[in-house]
Amino acid sequence: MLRVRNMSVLVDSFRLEVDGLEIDPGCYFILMGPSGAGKSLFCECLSGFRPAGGGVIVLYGKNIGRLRPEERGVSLVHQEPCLFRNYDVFGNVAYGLRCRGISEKAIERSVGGILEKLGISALRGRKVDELSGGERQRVALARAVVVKPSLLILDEPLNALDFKTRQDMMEQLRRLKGEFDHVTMHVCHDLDEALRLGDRIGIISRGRLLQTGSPREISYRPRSLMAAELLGVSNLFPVSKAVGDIVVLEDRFNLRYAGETVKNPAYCCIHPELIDLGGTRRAEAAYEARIIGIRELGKMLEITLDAGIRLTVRIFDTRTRQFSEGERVVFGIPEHAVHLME
Amino acid sequence: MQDRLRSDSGRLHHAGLTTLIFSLLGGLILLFVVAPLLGMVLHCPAEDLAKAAADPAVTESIWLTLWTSMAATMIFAVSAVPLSYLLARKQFPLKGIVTGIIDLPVVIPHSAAGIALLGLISRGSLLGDLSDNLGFHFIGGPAGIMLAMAYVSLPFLINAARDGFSAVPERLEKAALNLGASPARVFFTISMPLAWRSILSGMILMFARGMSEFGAVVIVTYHPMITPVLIYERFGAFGLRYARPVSVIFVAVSLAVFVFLRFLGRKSVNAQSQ
Repeated sequence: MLRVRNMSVLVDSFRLEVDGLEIDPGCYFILMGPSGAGKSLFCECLSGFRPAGGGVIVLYGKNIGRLRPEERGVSLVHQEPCLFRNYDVFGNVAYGLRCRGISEKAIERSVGGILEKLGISALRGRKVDELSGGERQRVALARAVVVKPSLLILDEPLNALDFKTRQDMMEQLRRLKGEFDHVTMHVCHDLDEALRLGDRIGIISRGRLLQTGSPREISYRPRSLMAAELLGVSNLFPVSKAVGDIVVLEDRFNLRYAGETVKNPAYCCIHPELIDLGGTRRAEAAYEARIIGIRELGKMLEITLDAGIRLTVRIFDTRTRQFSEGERVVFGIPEHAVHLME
Repeated sequence: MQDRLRSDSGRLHHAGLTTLIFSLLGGLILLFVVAPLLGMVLHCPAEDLAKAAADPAVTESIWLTLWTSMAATMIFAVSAVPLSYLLARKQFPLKGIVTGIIDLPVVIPHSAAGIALLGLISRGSLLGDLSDNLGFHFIGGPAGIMLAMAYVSLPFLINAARDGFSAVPERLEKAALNLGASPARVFFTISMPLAWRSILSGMILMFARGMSEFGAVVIVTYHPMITPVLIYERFGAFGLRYARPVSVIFVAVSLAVFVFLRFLGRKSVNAQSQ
């Protein structure tokens, strides 16, 4: 388990503050945030290349905050694979094991095993300069995992890869996550990557951890406007007034809301894929609108409605119902499609 | 369109003219380097060369020059390479001044460097007395020659090795540390091997520069004579005719050794990268 408390690190004028982060053993944790949010700085603090600013970092019961990088049991995989050019693939993967004084026989077994698992056994004797981007990243991953770290940090490992390699690598990471009991912290800024891989997701922005939660919680219940914006949530409106079960958005749209009570709602998001267009599902409230835009997104249709406010609706393009611009439609907003934020 | 073509061809013509002028100027420089050496070789009769090659004083001095320069390079590399690493990787107070001090031997006259060294190692000085107690003398011995050679040639090694270490991405060292390697292990298994080409190149430069040193060595240790001192002595005592064959032989040996070391260096680097 990883626990971080009272970390406060100042670099030039940027301050990183993390308090109360807890990640369970074996958890695949995604740290998401925009560029300059402090993700890499946080990774540097965890891996020991920067002091934790008086904070406490407890990894599986051991306070590692003051240990040197080589004593922490933290493995790091960067966006750039950082392979050692003076070793071949086997030498790279075996490096950490040799540092631990493990016998060559055991090294042979462990390295062979991990290369096999990642499907790169054929590369074992190759020079690292001869490898493709995806192969290099797999070797870096094998090298980091083979030493059985307590914490594996993957700092935007898929960024430099093409689409196909990215998908393959994600699949491999998914498979690997069930086989090890270390904590994995995967840093990224891609929501799709986060949702596909993460057991839990943390949102970081401007040096602060805004929210942690399951992928479902994070995507449907962002806790702040900043988190919602980072997650690319559509249909985000300021709440003008909330009286009883009526919430007024942008002074002109009355939304009936029967969800959990929020004391002082400041913003509201209406999840576009949960809006019931055309009344196929039972809606708690029915509204009228005019279609002002239709966009095809592969198998999905993104429809923009003018209902007093501009609402985006996403539906599967089943071809059973055709929509056209200017058409008047009825739609419903189910209770679970609405989320209020303080 | 035609105007444009004309202007393009004018630009190309201009570029060709520039390359031609630069090549001519470069050729003059090459001629300036090669012509004196060629002249020296061509003006040296074969029988004089043979006589000099058979002269024990000449062969001994060449051997002395080679081994003292090599030994100075090896001995001083032990502390120069770690210093280069520190200069490449660490930030510390007065780093600029330290870098300047390292380059000092390049800018001061080498005879002045010899005088300064003499003060450090002569009898009555701390190092002089220490060496006396240990049973050897800097002045008038190979140790003095090595010291003088190293003093003037160390910057070549330190600067080349520092550039080599700077070119090794720091994140590789961090990756090795994360894998559990100690800083010393990272230095010997990652930083050194990856900077090896530059270190080797610096060592070859230091060796070559040490071998050709005259000013500092002649003041610290006139006898036994290294070849540059022997050439000077023959020129002063017997004239150009006696100095020339020794010079030709020494230049040939220096070139041969330099080419051989470069070849060896390249071979070892290639073997390492395979």
